[in-house]
Amino acid sequence: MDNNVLLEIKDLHVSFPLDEGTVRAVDGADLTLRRGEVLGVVGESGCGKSVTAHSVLRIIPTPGRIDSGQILFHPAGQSGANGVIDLAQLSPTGSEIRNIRGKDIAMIFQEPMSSFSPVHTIGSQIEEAILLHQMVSQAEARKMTIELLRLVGISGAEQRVDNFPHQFSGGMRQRAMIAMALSCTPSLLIADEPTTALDVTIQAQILELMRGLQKRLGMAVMFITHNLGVIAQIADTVAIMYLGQVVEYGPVREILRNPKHPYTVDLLRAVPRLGKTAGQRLVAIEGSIPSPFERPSGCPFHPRCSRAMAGRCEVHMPALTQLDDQHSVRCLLYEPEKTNA
Amino acid sequence: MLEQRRVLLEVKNLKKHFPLRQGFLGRGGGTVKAVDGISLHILQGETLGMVGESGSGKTTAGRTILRAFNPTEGEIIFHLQNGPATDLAKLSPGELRAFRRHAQMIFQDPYSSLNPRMTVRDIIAEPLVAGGVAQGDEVDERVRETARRCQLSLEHLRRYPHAFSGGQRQRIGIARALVVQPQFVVCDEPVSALDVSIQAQILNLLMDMQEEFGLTYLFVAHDLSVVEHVSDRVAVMYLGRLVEVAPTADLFYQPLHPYTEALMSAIPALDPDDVMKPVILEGEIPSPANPPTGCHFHPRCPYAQAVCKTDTPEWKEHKPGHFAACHFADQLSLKGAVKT
Repeated sequence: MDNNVLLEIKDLHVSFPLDEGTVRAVDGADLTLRRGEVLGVVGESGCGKSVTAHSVLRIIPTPGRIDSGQILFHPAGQSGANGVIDLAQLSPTGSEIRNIRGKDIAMIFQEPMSSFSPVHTIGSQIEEAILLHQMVSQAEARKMTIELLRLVGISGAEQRVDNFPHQFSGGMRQRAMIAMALSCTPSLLIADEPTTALDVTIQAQILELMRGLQKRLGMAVMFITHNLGVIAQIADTVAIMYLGQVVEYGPVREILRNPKHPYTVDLLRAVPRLGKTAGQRLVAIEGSIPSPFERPSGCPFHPRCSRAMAGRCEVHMPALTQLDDQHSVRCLLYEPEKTNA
Repeated sequence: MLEQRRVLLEVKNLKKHFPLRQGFLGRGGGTVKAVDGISLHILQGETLGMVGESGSGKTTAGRTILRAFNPTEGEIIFHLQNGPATDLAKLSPGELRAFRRHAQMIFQDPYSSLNPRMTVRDIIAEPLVAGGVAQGDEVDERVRETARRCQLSLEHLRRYPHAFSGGQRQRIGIARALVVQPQFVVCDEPVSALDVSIQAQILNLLMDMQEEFGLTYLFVAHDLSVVEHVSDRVAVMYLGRLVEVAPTADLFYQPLHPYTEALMSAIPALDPDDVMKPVILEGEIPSPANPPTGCHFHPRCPYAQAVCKTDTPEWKEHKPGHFAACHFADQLSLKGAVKT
């Protein structure tokens, strides 16, 4: 077992019992995240990427619940079985998870507008996070807050610390959000579509900032996005999700240049590429993402898959197949033939 | 080839200012110059992409060109096929209604742009009925034909919008725009709310329809790789003004305006080894209520000189078809986007 593993998600199942039926938002997801690594989690709406991330911090909205699976967190400085915490077993309102949230694992959200309280200053909200987890005085917390705002590139941090969120632009709010997340030097930062709501020049600044801070502080980042360009720029390892499962997992270069799963292949063909596809038809993936209430049988991608094998893919759920020690794929094309499976 | 096409639309010095209401009587407070004097033309059958960041006025420009907003100033002259030149800015409400059959719009949000209480058939039929384009059986015939072309089935027509996914809703929005057989369509961020796999389907549909009906598009979007994909020419807006217009490849790979260069440098390349080196712009986009003097871009421009603060740069054709508003467009050698 790799000593560098920080977070392992094993066969995670999360469901939402609703009046219309049960939505299996995460349906057997497996992920590994090593220390100091940036893991990009990519997928379209309904693939369960956000629910997976929220499960780690146990902040799935009601009525969602973890049905089975493990979320093993290996905090720094503790080795052996004692140091491992199964986050899936903790009470979502208990003191254990609250000690981890914001301290060992922090999160930044897509909507920098709604992630801050509008009636408190930016500074007081960051100070609150510091005071909650660290034994420092109010004055020290304020000093640390100003330092953090400086770190994320907010000019005039001494004045800005007393501003309210509405006085910040979208890009600055996202910077402040990052400052708050970094306040307790977490070993894992979960970033849920942190640049999706931003303009492209601001997105570039935030990506640069995150890349720089990640290297400097050595933290691991779980970066959730649907933008493959952003993934190429920030991730070391990529997990492609479809309908609640990780269908392909591997190093970023491998996934982008040598994709194996038909969904990954088609996804990469469907994006317009600069200087390559101008004026041509794109290779679209047929059909639409199935309704969460009507999950296809067998491999969930088979109704849209160009390489589906009749009689197999709609019957058998493929298992995760290890192609080499880093690259794995969940597809029957790569699964060793089973006898009378 | 493009040069021989005729001009379909000429926009001259178009302005749209919104009054800011302040104080007890709602007077004073100045104006937001959302669109502040843009001039451009669009050729028959081409796609003009329009890009810019939030607050640049690109959406307002698209809407004002169709007179969804009444322009504060300027001319919007359509040269329709087999028809006289029409200045949309001068039409009366009745004339405008009759003109709508020639110029339509596709919206960004497929969720809020369809009336949830109308069936898909009624949604698509509405422009025909409201514009008096067709009556009786002809309405249903044209609705069915347009729906079929947009890959909606007849069974879909009886349903209500809530039963559809984002991609299918966008097909309904496209069918509604195309049912009157317009010559000109403003597409306002038509794919930015859609997933990647669905986005490709809708882009293909828009390009197929353009080919089939010889449509002319004004394609407003913020995703630069989508804009490169669909556009013949591209216009870049910043704080209510055009900063550059050029054929797509020239604009992307040989930009003449520093703002365009900054935009292009910020596109995340799909290759992990093409590490993005974004031109970092100082600060944020200023408020259009209080734009900077001279060149609007000067406070953030890495190449700004004294003259940029005081003088508004002239809108000038630097190369054939390549317009830019920068004092130093001929002297700077700027970097374009990285091909992936």
